[in-house]
Amino acid sequence: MALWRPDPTFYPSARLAMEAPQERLAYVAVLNPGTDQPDAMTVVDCDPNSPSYSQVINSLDMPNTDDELHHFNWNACSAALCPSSAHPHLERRYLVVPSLASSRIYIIDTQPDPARPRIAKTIEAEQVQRAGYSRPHTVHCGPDAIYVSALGSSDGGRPGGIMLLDHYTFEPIGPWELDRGPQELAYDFWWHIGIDTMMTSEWGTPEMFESGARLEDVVGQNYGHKLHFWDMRRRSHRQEVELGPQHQMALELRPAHNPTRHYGFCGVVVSTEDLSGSVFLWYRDGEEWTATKVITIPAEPADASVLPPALQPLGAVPPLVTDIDLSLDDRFLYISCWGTGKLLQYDVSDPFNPVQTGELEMGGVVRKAAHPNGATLTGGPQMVEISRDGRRVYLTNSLYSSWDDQFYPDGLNGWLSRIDVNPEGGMSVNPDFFVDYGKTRSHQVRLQGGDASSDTYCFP
Amino acid sequence: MILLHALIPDPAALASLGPWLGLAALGVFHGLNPAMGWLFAVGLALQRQRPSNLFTATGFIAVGHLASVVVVMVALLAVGAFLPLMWVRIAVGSVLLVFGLIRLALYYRHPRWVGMNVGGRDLIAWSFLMATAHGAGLMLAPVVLALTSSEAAAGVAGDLGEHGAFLSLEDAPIWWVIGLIGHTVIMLAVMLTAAAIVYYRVGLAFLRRGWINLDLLWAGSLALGGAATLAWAFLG
Repeated sequence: MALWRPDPTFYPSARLAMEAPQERLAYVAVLNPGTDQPDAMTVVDCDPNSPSYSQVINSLDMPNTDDELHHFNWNACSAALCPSSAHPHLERRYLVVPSLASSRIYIIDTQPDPARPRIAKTIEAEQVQRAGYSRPHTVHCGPDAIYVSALGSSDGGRPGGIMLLDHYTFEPIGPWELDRGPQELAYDFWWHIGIDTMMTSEWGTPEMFESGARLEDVVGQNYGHKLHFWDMRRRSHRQEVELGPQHQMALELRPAHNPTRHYGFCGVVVSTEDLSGSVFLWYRDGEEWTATKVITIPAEPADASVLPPALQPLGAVPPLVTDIDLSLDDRFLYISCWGTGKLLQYDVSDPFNPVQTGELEMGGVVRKAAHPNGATLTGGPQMVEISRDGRRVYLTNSLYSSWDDQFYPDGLNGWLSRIDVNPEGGMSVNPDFFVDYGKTRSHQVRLQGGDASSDTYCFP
Repeated sequence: MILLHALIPDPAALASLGPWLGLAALGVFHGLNPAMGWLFAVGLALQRQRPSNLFTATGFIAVGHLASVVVVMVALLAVGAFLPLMWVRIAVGSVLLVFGLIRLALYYRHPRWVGMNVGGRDLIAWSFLMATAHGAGLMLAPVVLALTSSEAAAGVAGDLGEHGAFLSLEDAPIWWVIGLIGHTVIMLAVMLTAAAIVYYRVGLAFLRRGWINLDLLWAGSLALGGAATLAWAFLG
């Protein structure tokens, strides 16, 4: 159960974690929604010196169908070294895998053979409901427990929120919030661990996303457009920051990894004003939190004849900023534009003044840009995962089953690509690495030993 | 020890150095354990970019630790007022042994505390919680009992059958106070030294290899301490 020395994948600081060895394996959640095939956790060989490089070397089927696996994460991470609640001899070993459709949470054991993971435990929907919620979505290992965001309340309505799992037994402990204030919508969460502040973002209630994006809710500005700041010690809501109701779906939160830097980035999917996507910077102004838009990505006009029905009335392709990710040195921010089929790289060393340093075209609703190896790419860049050293980025292309069908009605075939990063800025698609999942869709990627969105560091 | 020797009126009580060495050794152990204080001090100093936090934080942590130990000592005195010394030893030994075995079975468990942005009062509370959960005071109980018995043996021999077999306010506290303050000062010195070395010289990467599983060692020590105390009670 516990080790004699700290798990070697734990690093006191993000700076030290950048010296970690290159990942050899990636765990990729793949989905088979609406079929009689279950979702699966695939293991991909990322070691360029291995004969099975860029191949799926194993696939662990879930025991049920239609789970819709989402943003899974490790049971333990560098937060175990946090001095307030230290437990450095716990192993980074289990993947905690939430299912957005079925509300199950699978605990997948990656030992003794990391290439052959197996299911160690299943937390059923009823147990999640007893902890106050449904539709579990994002997982982060905290200093004292495993935190899981959930998009629905136990009866499938609002409010969504955060539940806790014991980080030894994985038993649900209950809802995290003691005082949620005005917060109702949920999506992502993370924290500024050094100042005991949690941030949460907003998507919508289950009925607002389960059958596809609802145009009337976008136009009506009913999707989430606020950030919430919480006191982690008191588990209470402290402040709501309004991004503007036109900024629909404030999703991914990427705080600076260095705990002495009290700012971060939030990706907003679409603006009802001009269909642009955007990135907001949140920061502390005195004792109050505030947010300002630092990146705007315009929509691309297109003829209705080349657009899917959902976009025809708009006459344009919105970029649809569905994921963003920040390198461990807090220097490069990657932005997925799932609609236009672009991956953007910005230097955010000065967070108030991001400078674009790279751009790639892959897939896209209209563009349909191919992989450099010639492969056709359906969908667009979606989940982004950065290696700890910041030199490689892994991309998948599926967002969420009903939304995939809506924006890519001709079919979306799952893929996994690797992007090579120039340490001084700039990036290119690696021509030799490509995983084609066929009809199966690919979503969250986790790299063996940790990556740029898996760990919390308590030291600068 | 020489200083103590000069100050204490009855030097015969120091005949046995064992308990004193025990108090010092436990102070060193708690001082070295990153989970019991110095790492928090380093974290605060780094977070706030104020090295002076190394001093203030370890100071507050030492106060919390001492408070936890004092609670156990007061309980010990209370029990000792009603039970003969032998039964106190048996009780202390049993509690230690059971606690040690539980800690051995659950040695990976840790107190859940959320909060890195802490002030002095928080640090005292945190340290009190950590010391109590670790059984720091419990482990000191048989050691101070040994102090008492060596003092009693040297000072009031012959009277053991009646008065000396009980703990009393006359023969315990002065030795205990000196012992516990010494223990805490040693712990504080070690803590501060460890924090300063990591902060100024070796850096936090040291933790990745250097932080051995002290909780497991400690759990074993608690159980052994309990067994030894029981043996001492029954075998003299």
